[in-house]
Amino acid sequence: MSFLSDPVVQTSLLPLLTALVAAGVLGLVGGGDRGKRLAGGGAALAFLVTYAVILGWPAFPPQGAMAKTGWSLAAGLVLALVIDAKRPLDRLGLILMAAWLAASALWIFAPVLKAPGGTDLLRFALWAMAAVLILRRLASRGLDPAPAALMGLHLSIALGAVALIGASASIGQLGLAGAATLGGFLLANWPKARHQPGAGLLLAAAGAPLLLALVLVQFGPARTPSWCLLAALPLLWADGVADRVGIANRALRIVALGFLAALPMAVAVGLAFLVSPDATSGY
Amino acid sequence: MSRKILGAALALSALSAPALAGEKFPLDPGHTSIYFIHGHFGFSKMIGRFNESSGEIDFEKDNIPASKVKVVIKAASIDTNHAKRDDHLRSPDFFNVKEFPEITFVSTGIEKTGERSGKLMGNLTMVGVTKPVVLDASFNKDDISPPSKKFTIGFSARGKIKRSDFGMKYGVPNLGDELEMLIETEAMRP
Repeated sequence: MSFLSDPVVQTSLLPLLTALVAAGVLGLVGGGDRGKRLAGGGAALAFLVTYAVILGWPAFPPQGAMAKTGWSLAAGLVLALVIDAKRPLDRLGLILMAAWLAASALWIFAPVLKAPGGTDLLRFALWAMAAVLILRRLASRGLDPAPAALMGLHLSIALGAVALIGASASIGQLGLAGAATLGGFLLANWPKARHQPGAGLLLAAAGAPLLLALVLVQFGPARTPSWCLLAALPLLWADGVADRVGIANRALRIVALGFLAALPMAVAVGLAFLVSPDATSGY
Repeated sequence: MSRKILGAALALSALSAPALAGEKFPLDPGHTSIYFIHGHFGFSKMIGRFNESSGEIDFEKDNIPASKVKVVIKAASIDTNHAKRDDHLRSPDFFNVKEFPEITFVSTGIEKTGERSGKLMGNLTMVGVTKPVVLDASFNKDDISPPSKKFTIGFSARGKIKRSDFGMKYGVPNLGDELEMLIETEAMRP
C-alpha cells in the first residue's frame, strides 16, 4: 500500500498538512487583509485535494451524488475565493454562498425529485433547516476565524463518525478529512489569530460537511443513523457558552471552546453508536 | 380421441422444436447466476452476486453472430453474505442504487471463436456510465430441459471490467479495480 493510499493518512496527515500549507500560501499571495480572508480557502482547497485522493476526481458531467458534490465544492471554492479577494464576508457574500449551497443541494437532490418518497422530502427539509442554522451561526463570528473553524471541525467529526458507523466509508473518510483540514487551519491560528473568517472558511466549515451530509441522508446506506447528527447541532452555541466562562486569554478560550463544542459532537456519535447494533462490525 | 392425440403430439413437437430464427427466450431467473470477484487489499478475493436479474436472448442457432442478448440486473440485489458490507456496496461509494437502480448489458455483436464459443460484445451501463465490454461466452446446450419439459438454451460467460472506468473509484487500488464477472444462465421458451 502506498503512503497516500493509506486511509489513515488520507483522513488525517494529508488534509491537515495541505490545509496548513495552503492557508499560508493563500495568505501570503493575497497579502494584507485580503490574504487573511483568502487563507480560509486553504482549508477548502485541502478538502478538494483530499477528495481527489480518496475518490479520484470525477469526470464531467458528473454521474451520481458524490461526483456532483466534488464539482459543486470546486465551484464553491472559486466563488469563495472571488468573494474573499474582493471584500469581507458581508450580507451579499453570505447570500451568494447560500445561493451556491442551495443550487448544489438541488442538483444533488434532483434524481430523488423524480419520484420522491415522504421520508425523502422530510429528510431534505430537515437538512435545509440545519443548513440555514449552520450558515447563520458560522458566518457571524467576528474577526477571529477560530470559533467558526472549531465548530465546523466538530460538525465534520460528527458527520464522519456517524457515516462510518453506518457503513458509508467515503463520507466517513471525507468528514474526518474535513475536520483535519480545519485542524490545519486552526494550527495556523493558534495561539494567536493570523487570519480572518471569510467565504473560503465558511465553505470548509459549513459547505463541505453540509453537502456530504445531504448525500449521506439521501443516498447513504439505509442503516446509517443519520438523524443522530441533529444531536450535534447545539455545538453551534458553544462559543456563547465559552464567552460566559469569561476566559481573557484567547489561546485558552479557544481550547475551552474546543472542549465545549466536543460535547454535543460526542453525544451525536455516542447516540449513533448506541442505536447501531452492528456499529463495531468491520468487514 | 385421434384429435386429442394429434393435439398432444403437436404440443409436444412445439415444445421440442429447435429454436426458430430470431426467437426470443426470456432468461430463467431460477437458473441465472451473476457473480463477481474482486480483490480485498491483496489478502484475498471477495465473491459476491446479484440475486435479481431479467432479460432475454434473441437466439439464432444457425447464425449465432446474429443473436442478441439483453440483461437487466437489480443493483440493490447485491449479496456478499454480509449485510453491512452489502449496504455499503449499495451506497454512493459503489453501486449507488438509489440513483442507479439497474445495471444493464445490451449486446452489440457476437464473434464466433469455436464450435460453441465466442466473444460477446456489448454495452454495459453501470452507475450511469456506459462502456463497451467483451465477454468470453460459450453456448452449452439447447434441448428439452428434463424438469421443465421446455426447450431451453444454456450459456456461460466470463469477463473482466475495471470499475474505475465507470467512475466507481472509491478504494482503488486497495479494493480491487478489476471485477471478474461470472455468468451462468439458461433461457427457456415461454
